[in-house]
Amino acid sequence: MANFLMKRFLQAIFVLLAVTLIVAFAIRLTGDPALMLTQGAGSVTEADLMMIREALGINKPFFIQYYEFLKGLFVFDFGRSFMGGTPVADLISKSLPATLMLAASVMFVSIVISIPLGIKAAVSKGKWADQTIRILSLIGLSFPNFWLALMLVLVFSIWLQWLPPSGMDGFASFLMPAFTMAIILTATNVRLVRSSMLETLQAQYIMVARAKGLSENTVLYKHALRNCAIPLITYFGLQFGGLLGGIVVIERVFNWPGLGTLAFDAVSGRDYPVLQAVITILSMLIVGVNLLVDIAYGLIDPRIRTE
Amino acid sequence: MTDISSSPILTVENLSVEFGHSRVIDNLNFSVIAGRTLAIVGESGSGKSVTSQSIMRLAESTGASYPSGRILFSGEQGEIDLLSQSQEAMRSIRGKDIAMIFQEPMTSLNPVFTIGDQISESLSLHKKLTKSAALDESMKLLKMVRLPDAEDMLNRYPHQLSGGMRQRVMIAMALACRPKVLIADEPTTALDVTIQAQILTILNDLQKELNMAVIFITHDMGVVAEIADDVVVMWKGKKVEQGPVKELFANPQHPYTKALLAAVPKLGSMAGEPFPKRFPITVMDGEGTRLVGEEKTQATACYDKSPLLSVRDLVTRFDSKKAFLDVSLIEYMR
Ligand SMILES: Nc1ncnc2c1ncn2[C@@H]1O[C@H](COP(=O)(O)OP(=O)(O)OP(=O)(O)O)[C@@H](O)[C@H]1O
Ligand SMILES: [Mg+2]
Repeated sequence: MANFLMKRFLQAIFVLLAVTLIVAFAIRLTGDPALMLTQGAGSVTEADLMMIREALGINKPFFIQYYEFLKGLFVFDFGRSFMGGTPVADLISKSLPATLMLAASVMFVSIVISIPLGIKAAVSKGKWADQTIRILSLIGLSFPNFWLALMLVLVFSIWLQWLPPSGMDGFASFLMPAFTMAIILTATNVRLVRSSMLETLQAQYIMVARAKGLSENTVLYKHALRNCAIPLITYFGLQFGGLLGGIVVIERVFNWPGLGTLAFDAVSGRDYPVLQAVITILSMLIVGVNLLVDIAYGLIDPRIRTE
Repeated sequence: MTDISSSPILTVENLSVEFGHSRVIDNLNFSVIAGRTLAIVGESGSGKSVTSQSIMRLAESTGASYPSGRILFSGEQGEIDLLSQSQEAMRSIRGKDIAMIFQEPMTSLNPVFTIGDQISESLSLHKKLTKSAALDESMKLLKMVRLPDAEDMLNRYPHQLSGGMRQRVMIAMALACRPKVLIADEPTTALDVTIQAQILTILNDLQKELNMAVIFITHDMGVVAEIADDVVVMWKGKKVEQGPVKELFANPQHPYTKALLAAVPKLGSMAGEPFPKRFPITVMDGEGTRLVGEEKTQATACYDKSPLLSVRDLVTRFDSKKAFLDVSLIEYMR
């Protein structure tokens, strides 16, 4: 197991190197930030542009720039933003918690709802409870994210005025963005839980557990659920990555002060250091979660642990 | 043998079981007495497992319904009909008064929990033992089914055990609460003959010790002769024959019973034979029996050529201490 984790850890480092390299390279293809900064500033000479480039450090060869970026990474120094010169690390430490809290509440809500619903659907396969859950999840799946977000704002913020339409300010402000994203995840997760549960419930050891006289809840939530945990956790881990991607759009809609909003502004300003930092942090999160998933395998399944 | 006049602890009366509209058990009747063993024999698909799962009221979870019948059990509250009990009421009977051993030892244990957890579970549930008391008791049970290193075994997982060991764990689990009735659904079919003999001895000893009624399901008449007091023969969901084991063996009535008895190898019939030999087998054909195959010697190995596969000084070690295997084997094949 330790060996396996070490391998995974080295893989993770390699993935991060590759991602940062590609990102650093691709960003520099998007255009010259010096031109962007001087837009509408009247007469700008080539000498002025050179001076700006030197100040920003983008006149150096690409690999020097990349090397400096990597060096900074170890001390959480991502340089300064091209817009206003704020240290990027400060911007990140303000936005990261907002994004993480939102993503975590989405995953939490979705998992807490989909596990009991999926199990209920599996045990009542073909009966009305299963049909209802199936129809509900189909409806949930067919909403586009951003449309749902706008509808929620219209109903709960504009008509009913119950919830704040944007920003992050207390529990109420979490409800709409979290719900918007959780609804689609939940719809897929319910089906996933249902199908892996159906498979597990066929197993002989489930009948053995019932033959002991255990309550239905113990049979389902202890004996069966633990056995479907591997596919579920794998999927939840992958889903978390997808969620971080999708969060950019939702943060935009709800003006959520997270990494998505930060990245969005950075793209439009060709703010290399900020963009590079955001993408690096996001990929670290995704790689980190997948490492956690690998560790969880061993905790859940003794057959993997002893390998 | 206990007093013949003692009344049955479990009686199945006119039991029918259906899956949707197909009737797989039709009007079945039998009973067992404490301390005695009833064997149910029948070919594959004749409804033996469905019968045992119906007694446990577990067949519903796979979609069964009971259009008629009673299953009378004499427990502490006097005689009750198990078919009219709620699942809630059944839960306090299952595992405590009536326990079951299943057909497939390889898949009967939950792969993600330790042996100790799985045995102590019913002890905590029915006997209200604390965790550590339940584990102590589990260890005694493992010793009772003669598993070596019982203490070490508690912390092992099913995948670290062989089929025979798992089936012994299953027996320990079923006997944890000293049930009055034990249903053993082909407990030895998946195991090799030496392990089978060990398991039968263990079951036999424990039955005497606990004065249990045992319903033993099998299609091996050799096993029946060894352990049963009475036999019920099932054929396509119906009881076709019943009687004390001696009478049935001496004078089988139904063609299927005759076919089953014909399938038991005769002791000494291979004596002096240098090669494996085939015998014709008796099979059911409609309502009668028919012989299939001919008697022939299988001399297919070729001893002059070099071996196709040879294994020498093979050593296989597992981390889990005592498992150690040293094999020297040469196999001749054609
Ligand atoms: N869940 C189910 N749904 C529908 N039919 C079933 C179900 N379980 C069993 N049956 C049917 O009931 C009949 C009896 O099956 P059962 O498992 O009791 O046979 P068996 O006598 O135990 O056979 P074996 O010796 O192979 O274990 C079979 O025809 C089988 O197809
Ligand atoms: Mg069976």
